[in-house]
Amino acid sequence: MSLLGKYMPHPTIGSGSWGDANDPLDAGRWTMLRQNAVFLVQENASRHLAAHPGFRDLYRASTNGTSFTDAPQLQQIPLTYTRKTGGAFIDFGVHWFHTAPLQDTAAAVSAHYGTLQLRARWKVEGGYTCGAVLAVSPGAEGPFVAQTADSGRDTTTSATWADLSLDVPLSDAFVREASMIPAAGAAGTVDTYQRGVVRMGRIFAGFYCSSNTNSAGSRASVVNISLRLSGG
Amino acid sequence: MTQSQHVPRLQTAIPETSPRIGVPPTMAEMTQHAGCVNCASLDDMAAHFGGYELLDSGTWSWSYVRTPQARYLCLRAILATLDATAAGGTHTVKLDVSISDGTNTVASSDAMIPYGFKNEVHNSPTNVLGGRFDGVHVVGYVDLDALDDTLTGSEWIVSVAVTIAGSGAALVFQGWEAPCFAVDDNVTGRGVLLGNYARDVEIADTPLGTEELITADEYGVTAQRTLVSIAWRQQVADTAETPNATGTSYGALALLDEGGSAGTFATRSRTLPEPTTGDVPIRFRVLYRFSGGAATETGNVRIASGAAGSPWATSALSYTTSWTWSAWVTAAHRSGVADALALAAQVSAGGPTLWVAAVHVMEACAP
Repeated sequence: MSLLGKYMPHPTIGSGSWGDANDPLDAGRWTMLRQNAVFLVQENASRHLAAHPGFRDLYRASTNGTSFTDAPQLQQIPLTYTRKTGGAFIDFGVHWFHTAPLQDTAAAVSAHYGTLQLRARWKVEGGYTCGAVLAVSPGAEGPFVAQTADSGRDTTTSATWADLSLDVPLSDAFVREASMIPAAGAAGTVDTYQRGVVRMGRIFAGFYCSSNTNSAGSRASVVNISLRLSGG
Repeated sequence: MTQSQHVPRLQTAIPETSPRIGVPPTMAEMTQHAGCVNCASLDDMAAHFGGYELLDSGTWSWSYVRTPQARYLCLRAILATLDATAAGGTHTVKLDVSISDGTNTVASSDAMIPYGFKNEVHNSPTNVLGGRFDGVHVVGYVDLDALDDTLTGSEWIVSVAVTIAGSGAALVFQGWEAPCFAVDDNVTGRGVLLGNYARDVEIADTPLGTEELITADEYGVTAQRTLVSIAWRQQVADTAETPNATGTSYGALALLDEGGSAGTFATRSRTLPEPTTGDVPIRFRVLYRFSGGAATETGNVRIASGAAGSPWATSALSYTTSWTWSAWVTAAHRSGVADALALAAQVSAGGPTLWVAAVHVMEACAP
């Protein structure tokens, strides 16, 4: 937490701004700017990563079959079905991460690179079970090596719309150190300085419906999905 | 013009109360401050967009607002053949990327668009060869500084025309701004040179003075923060693929609904409230068109949140059968806590269908 725990507005750059025209900053204003910097580091460490409209009328069961009603691992989601064929599997692609700025907090000990948070709304018909999982593969690896956490898996039997919350604290096991050296455009131009090291992970989400039956009253929906990194 | 390396998370905490009345700052204090404010403004670019399971040929467009201090936009597509029974053969994907400011367009033939996104033919591996499980990664970077020489402003449109043959598909097409790894005093907002505050170097006015610390502070606030960015295939034939509305009073858009009620996206803004309202300013725009009905009809799309003043609607969207971006609409989001954004739409009279093929909601914070 920064000194004041909030951003302190100040005159914007231009005539009358602090420190203008060789004016030294006084101690009070300078303290405010220093705490602003710390506050912004913590606030900006969190960001949304993706949004997805979700799946309506998914019905494919886990790869373990219709008797499986537990919170799944990603590898228990059938990958070969699309949203058009009753499946529900999202490849959110590859994302980059830095260390969380507050390394001395309890949360940062287990989530060195922040926590992935998937939020959505879901329901399932007919007393069946809908399962959900959020998982991450190091670097750009595929889903076979994706891992999740206990807080990254869940099930519901709710026939009415309910909140879905999945969290995956990102430790070293979920990400891979990578050099990011952008080679821009068709010429692949590389800048001398714009290169550095990040951690990268490929994020997946998957869902199953234990009915495995494509008929009214036997399907599930998971809609309005948002994916965010809580990095503060 | 001077550039220097910036190491992410170099200085995430500094002694905030070190300034003392009548005591000049030390070099260490100034460089700490510069390093910290650089981390605030350069480390965590949050502009992004993406589409998932692009299964059919067509065009997707995303609204993209550039973060001024960002240098590179990364594009990545992961291609695979999704049909579990597809045999080896001709399963291909072509990605034709263009970026526009609404008037000027950088086409895929331009050297600024990286290879892989120039409408080349990419083979989609079948399941036997990896297929959906790993896929073929097509990755490239766009130099935003170079793009800025052709496009005006910072509110752009990234489009990809996808051509699919056989059972080819794109698991994902995504874009995000890369974090900055360099301070460049030739680009306003791109950080503060730590060397400005070296011992025995006079701290002069802009660009070397303390004003630069304030500039970086401001850019840390205004850095683009996308809350929701979604695009659907631009088509009006299938009501189960692209959101649409036909009601003459505000109601849920099909495919963004929860059983007839407007569905909500769970979002969280930064704790940077506008002082008078206590809420965080946001703005949104949509990509829309009409089909059917009379050409004299209009429509509206609105967004609701938990902030005071909700909901906020577009002005009347004129009837058009071309995909068109609405003007930006200013709205608000609860500050620093979870909120729920709900989209609803209406048309002026029965007959036409209002289609929405993209939504972009972003913070609009000011220092």
